[in-house]
Amino acid sequence: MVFYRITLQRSVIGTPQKTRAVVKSLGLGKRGSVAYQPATPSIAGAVAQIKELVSVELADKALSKAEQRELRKSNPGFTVEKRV
Amino acid sequence: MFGAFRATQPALGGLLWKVPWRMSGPQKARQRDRLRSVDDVLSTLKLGLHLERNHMAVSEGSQLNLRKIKPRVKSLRILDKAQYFPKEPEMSATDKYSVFNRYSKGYRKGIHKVPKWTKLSIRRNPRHF
Repeated sequence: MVFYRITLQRSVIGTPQKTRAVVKSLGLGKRGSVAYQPATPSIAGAVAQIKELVSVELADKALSKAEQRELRKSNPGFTVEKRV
Repeated sequence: MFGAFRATQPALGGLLWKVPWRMSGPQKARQRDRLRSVDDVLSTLKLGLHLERNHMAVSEGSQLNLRKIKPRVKSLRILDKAQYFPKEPEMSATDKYSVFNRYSKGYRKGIHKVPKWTKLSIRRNPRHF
């Protein structure tokens, strides 16, 4: 399955209520928030309505919040062999 | 007539808007960047639908010719047509940086005079204007 990785690049400040509703329905909140949505005609149409505010990438898999956080982590420089 | 109470245009006249008549070079460059990012969003949406319909992986998408793909969603198909929604390289400089305005001399005003202009797509203007 193909997913859209949608990032809200521009704030919804000053936009009409209709636009805000579309942003919210896609699971986006503040600027920079990320949402994974399946690549379906209805989702594509909704994203096209807010095309000036978002950036979109394609992904094979929808990542959960925990997986996204794991990706952002930097290399700590050590590995934990055994928890005491 | 110095200091905070000096007689200047804004102090005497109240509201004084200072929106320059023409856009600066960097302003135009940022406008082009915004136009291109919107084009990117639309092409990604189109590609995603195509891959999903043909059960292809995302990695296979880079080999496809995007120009040949036609979206089957009506709203996207209109946005794919140069006649209705031209891409940044297809637009003339006049359309990129100015919009139709019936009150202006020459029927054009700078796009930076439109409220919320950085969050809008105004790509098509009346023909011959």
